[in-house]
Amino acid sequence: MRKIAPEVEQLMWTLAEHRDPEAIDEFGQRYPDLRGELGKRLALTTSLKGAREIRTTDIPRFRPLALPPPIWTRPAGLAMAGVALIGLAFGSYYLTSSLSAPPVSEKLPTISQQPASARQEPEGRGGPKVLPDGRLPQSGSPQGAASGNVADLPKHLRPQTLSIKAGKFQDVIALLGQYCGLKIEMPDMPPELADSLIEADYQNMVPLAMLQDLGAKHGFSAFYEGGNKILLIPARPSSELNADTGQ
Amino acid sequence: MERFLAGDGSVFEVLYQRYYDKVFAIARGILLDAEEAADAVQEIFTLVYRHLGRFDRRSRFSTWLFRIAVNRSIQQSRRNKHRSKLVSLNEALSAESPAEPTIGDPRVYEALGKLQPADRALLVLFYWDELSLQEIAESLECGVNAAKTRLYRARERFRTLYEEPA
Repeated sequence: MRKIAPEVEQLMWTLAEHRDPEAIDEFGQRYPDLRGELGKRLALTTSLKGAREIRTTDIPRFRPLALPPPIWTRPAGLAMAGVALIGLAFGSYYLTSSLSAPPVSEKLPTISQQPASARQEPEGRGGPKVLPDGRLPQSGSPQGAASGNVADLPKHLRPQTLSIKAGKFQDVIALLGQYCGLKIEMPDMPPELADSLIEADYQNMVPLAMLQDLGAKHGFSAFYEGGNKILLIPARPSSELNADTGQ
Repeated sequence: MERFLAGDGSVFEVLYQRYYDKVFAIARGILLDAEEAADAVQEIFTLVYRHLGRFDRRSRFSTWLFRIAVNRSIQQSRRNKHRSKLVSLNEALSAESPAEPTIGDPRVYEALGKLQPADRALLVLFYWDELSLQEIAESLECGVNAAKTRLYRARERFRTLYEEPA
């Protein structure tokens, strides 16, 4: 027997389901050699529909059954879930502990300890450029701001405005650090300097430049140590500096 | 259903009575055993009773009900399949095998018994519950074209088995 085209096959099934006598007759005239096939499908659908068991009477009364609880609430299921969670916790701990941070003993480079050539910061990024003796450069402009997009710079590198008419030196330094996001350390702060009243009036100036200016006025040097750390060292006689650098 | 969700539990009996026949037809066609089908129907309506609050009212209740009925019946059928391997061995050894009373042409149940439960579900939904392709697609959570294709294939497989010489 020849293979029946899918659309003809579908047509036969549709005729078998709807049982339109006229449509069936027309199909028979159009496809006389497929009348037998159509007849088989008619018989099949009749048998299939006739096998349905109808239950519209004697319907049992509905009583909600006590269905078993979901597997994850059963003791065995809970135990398995607990074991899985513990395993996951151990695995997570092992994985994260193996991704260790750099050793503590690894020293991060600081400006004051390395030659200037090793501390060449790219233009407009990171910290300011440093002179061979580790001091911050005297910038021509009062701002001393690094080039590049100011908004992208961290707070301690962005121009700020500070106006203090009279305040104790140590308070001004602390305020500057707090206001500009800097961690300023001066381990050898002379007591007389700490309590001396100073003025700090800066408009739109980078904090580092402010400290540089204060250092020039009050006898200390500001060393940029990377990140937001500044180290303030009381000024030393220039003869001692020349001896250190060999100049 | 609104009344049921508002706390009127007696209304569920109305839903139960209205849909019992169609749900039984689904279970009967998939499980092929009348007693098992009756038990499955009670389980199905128990599930519906407990989870009616979760019913998404954007779709029809009957669609949701039939989906539960199909899934539950297929699950039960798969569980029975593992048990039936032992049962058929016992029947072969016994002198009289229990005869399951069938309605109409016995070849229908013979052929249905050789089909996969998913195929039986499609045929039952279309020929016994007389759902449209759209309704079948919604119940089986597939597209209309997919439902049409699956029905076509299930029907062809059934026909091949039905027309096999005894």
